[in-house]
Order: sequence, then C-alpha cells, then structure tokens
Amino acid sequence: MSIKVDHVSYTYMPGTPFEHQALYDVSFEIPDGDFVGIVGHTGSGKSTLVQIISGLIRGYEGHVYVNEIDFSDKKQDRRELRKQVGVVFQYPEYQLFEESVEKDIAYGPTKLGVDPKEVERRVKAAMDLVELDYDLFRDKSPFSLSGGQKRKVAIAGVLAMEPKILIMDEPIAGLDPMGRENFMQLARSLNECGITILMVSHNMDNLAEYTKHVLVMNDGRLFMQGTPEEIFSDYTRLREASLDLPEVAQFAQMLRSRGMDIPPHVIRYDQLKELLLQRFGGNAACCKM
Amino acid sequence: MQTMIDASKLKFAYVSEDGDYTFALNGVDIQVAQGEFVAILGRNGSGKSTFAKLVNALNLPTEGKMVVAGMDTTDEANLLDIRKTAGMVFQNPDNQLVATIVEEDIAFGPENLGLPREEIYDRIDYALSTVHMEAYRGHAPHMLSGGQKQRIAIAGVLAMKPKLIVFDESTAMLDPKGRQDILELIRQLNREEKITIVLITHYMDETVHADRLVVMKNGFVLREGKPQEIFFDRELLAQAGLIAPFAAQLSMDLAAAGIAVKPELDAEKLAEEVCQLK
Repeated sequence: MSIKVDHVSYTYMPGTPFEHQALYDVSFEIPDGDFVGIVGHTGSGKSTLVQIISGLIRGYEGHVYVNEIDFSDKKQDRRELRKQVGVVFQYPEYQLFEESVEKDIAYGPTKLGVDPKEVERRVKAAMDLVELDYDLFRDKSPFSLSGGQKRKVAIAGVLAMEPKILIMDEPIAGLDPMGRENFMQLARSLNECGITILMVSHNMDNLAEYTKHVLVMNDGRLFMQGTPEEIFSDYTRLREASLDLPEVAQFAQMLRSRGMDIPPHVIRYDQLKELLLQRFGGNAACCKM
Repeated sequence: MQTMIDASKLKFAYVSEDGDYTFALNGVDIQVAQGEFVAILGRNGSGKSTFAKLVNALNLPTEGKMVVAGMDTTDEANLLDIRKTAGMVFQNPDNQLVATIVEEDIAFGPENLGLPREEIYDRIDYALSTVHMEAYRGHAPHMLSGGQKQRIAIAGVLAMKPKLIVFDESTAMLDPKGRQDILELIRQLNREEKITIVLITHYMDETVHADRLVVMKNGFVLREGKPQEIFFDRELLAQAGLIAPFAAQLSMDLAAAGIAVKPELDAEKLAEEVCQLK
C-alpha cells in the first residue's frame, strides 16, 4: 500500500508561547512494498511525521494519502486507516496491559470483531513471526517477561491486526545487538510478505544493511531522500544534519583518506569485506563464521 | 585501593503475584575497584539491569551479599549513605527529571540532604560545569534535546558527589551525536573526577575503552576480562549472544581469510594497517 505525503506542515500549540513548528512543507511518496528508514537528530520532526501518517495528529496543513485515500480530509472515516496501518511506538512494551500474553496480542483483532478462531490463528502466527513460543508464553503475564520479550509481545499485538503498512518509531532502541539483528530480519521478512515498512531509527548501521530507501529529516524539513547507498555515502550532508555515517561507510572513508581507492556506495559489511578480500587475495570461503 | 562494589554469591529473584520465583541473578560475584571503568555486557534478560539496581539498594539481595564502599545494602542504616555514594543514570531522561527548571532539578538531591544554601549553589555550579551545561541553568528541562536532558540527569547525580555512577543503558534513546557526547562525558567523569563507572550498554563500541568487561548470561557471570580478551573470542561472543565491535569483527574476518592483519579494536588503526597491505 502506498503513502503520499503532500506539502505537509505542522505547528505544535499554535498561538501559545509554546508554539513550535515541527514540520515545514514536507512532501514524498512511498510506493507499495517499500522498506523506508527515517533518520534525523532529536527534534528533527521524525516522530511528528510518522504520527501524522499514522493519523494520530490532526490539524496539519497539506495532505496525506494512504492507498490514495486522503486522510487529511476530516470527513474521511479513519477506521480503515487504523485497520491498514499498524503503529509500533517507542518503547511499545509500555503499552502492554492484559493479564496474559495471548490476551494482550488478541486484543486488537478481537476489538475489530474478528472471529475467535481466526483471532487464535492470528495470535499464533504473530507469535511465530516474532519467535515467541506459543505454548510456553501464551499464559504468562506480559509483565513477568524481560524487556526484549515484552517488546516482542507488543509487536505481535500489532502484527495480529495484519496491517498492510507497518510504522515503527525506534523499535530497536534498547535491544541487544542480536536482538536488533533479529528484529531487522523480522522487518525484512514482513516486508517480503508485502508489508510496506517505515522505520524511524538512530541506528545507521542497521538501516544501511536492511532498508530500501532512506529519508533524512533535519529541522522539520525533508533534507535528503534516496537509496541507502546514496544517503549513507554522503558524509558532508549527513554531517549537516548532525548525523553520522554507518561504521562501514566511516571505515571506507578512513581508507579513502589514506589514499586507497574505494568505490563510492560501500555501506554494508559484506560489501566491504568482499572488496578487501578481493583486493588482498583473501580466501572468501574460509571466512564464513 | 578501596573496593567500590563487592557482590558475592549474589542472587535475586522477582516474585510473581502467585508466589513464583524467577531468578534474574543466579549467584554472581563481581568486584569493582575504586576508580575503575567497568562495562557489563549481555543480552536482554541476562541480569545486567537487575545487578545495577542492587548496587544502590533499589533491589535487595534474595541471597548473597552486596557491599558498596564497605556498606552492606541490606542494613537499612546504610541506605542514605549508599544512595549518596552510588548514583544511577537510567535509559530515559524524562523519567529522571523532576523540576521545571534545570537548576532546581539539580538542586533536588542536595536539598533533600538538608545542605546549607551556599553548599547547594556550589554543587549546582560544579555539576553544571562538569556536564558543560552552564548556559542552560534557567532553562526548562523538557525543552532540551535528549542528550542535553541526559546531561542534566547526570548533573543531578553529580550534585550528590557520588564516588560511583552506574549508567544503565543511558545512551539507548539518544541520537548518534547525543550518544557520542554522553559517552565522552562518562569517560571524562572517570578520568578527571575519578568517579568509578559501571556502564551497562548494548553498544559494544562504547565499551572498547573500559578497563574491564563483565559478560553476563542467564543471571551468571560468563567471563570477565579486558576488551581485547573478550571481543576476539568468537566462541565466547557466540555463547553470550554478543556481536563484536566493527573493527574487531572485520580484523578477525580478514585474518580468518588469510590476510595479515592483527586483531584490532580501533577502526582508525585497522584502516592504517589495511593500507599497509600489499
């Protein structure tokens, strides 16, 4: 499902001493099936932007189309939006409230009026996707789980809604490195199942490895957009937006500054490794961990 | 040299409503010397944060002992002194700021100690200058960026003049620049203010300068050692579910493929070495 953001501006608390314009004339399109990373420093407008797309903030200027329906139109029924767009907020584990994992995940689809049998199937499928063992966890209290497990439960709750678009705000903050990697792989497999994904993150390394496109926000404006290769190899502009290159791109830059000829757009670990192995005659086959 | 943290055979269990015990720590021995910079690594649920909460008596041991600067945390008479000695900085600065003005927020701790007015002002000056936020004295904390808020949270802890600060994923919510700033500040506190640091983090690159790493798994200490001893041990990393920092990973991968590079934790040094290759 596609998203179109058309000349959107937004001001918090207009007409008060706290008036603050968070977005200035932002426009972009995300085609169906895309996997988009959104980056930007704190206060750059990322979270405001995703809340507008999710339909949680109203009263903005401009238009937001989801699947070609204009949801900035106040008369538009937004239940459809809620069904199609799943939102995972920062620290989703704080959203848990039910007495068992199963009930928590089932809450959304049950409220949508989905048949109980189907709800059960969806709960199982969602837990399967986030790799939580159904029999082991279904009856546990979500509050007895570890931080990483709670987050999985919260995300399973969103997946059980079977959204076509999944919007996630800092979903990997606070996860351990393996947890981050697993989560990104989960996002990729959901994307391969046809779900359009928007992910806000400060983690350039993970975004460089997994996304198809990247939007860079800076001071409320859309500052850059392109493929991860384009964005994450443009050190000068990223610096202007107070952001850093992914580690791999930084390293490529270190090699270049020492006079080594490294092609542009080296941003992923395997790319860099293969390149160095080829150049220095290493044996790629024995390098597998 | 004084031992700042002496945990022996430490166990801690969370008790559920129906009386079930879940052990988050299964018998942990960790010693931290005064002035040391120790990082604790491990997957989510390995017991790191539980350990942190035992250090300043937010949790009390189910079994075993936790002694902080010579004070047993189970002795209630020690509580105030332990809290003064061991400060904590958590993940989300929004949960740690209590006042509507930066200065008042920092004064909160010293005021509760009943210190004289001049002493409180001295401490605010000291804390703000140490975190480089003098210019924000009269600002509202909620208007600051994440990194700035975290600095104010740290200043609030510094105003208590602690000997030890535990940072429990204090950079997890920050953007790359904020994370870098806070990490530099933590190192400065250790180097210049001689404050003992316990750093809990999921970012391996933040720990390569630590004096010592403690790797935890399932409520046990799996291994302790210098960063060089931990990050080049693939078996250990796999067992603990950790991923080596970038430079360590790349240098090991290149070496495994028969390219002559040394194990290296620092990306600049590795780049230097790679450029020397023929």
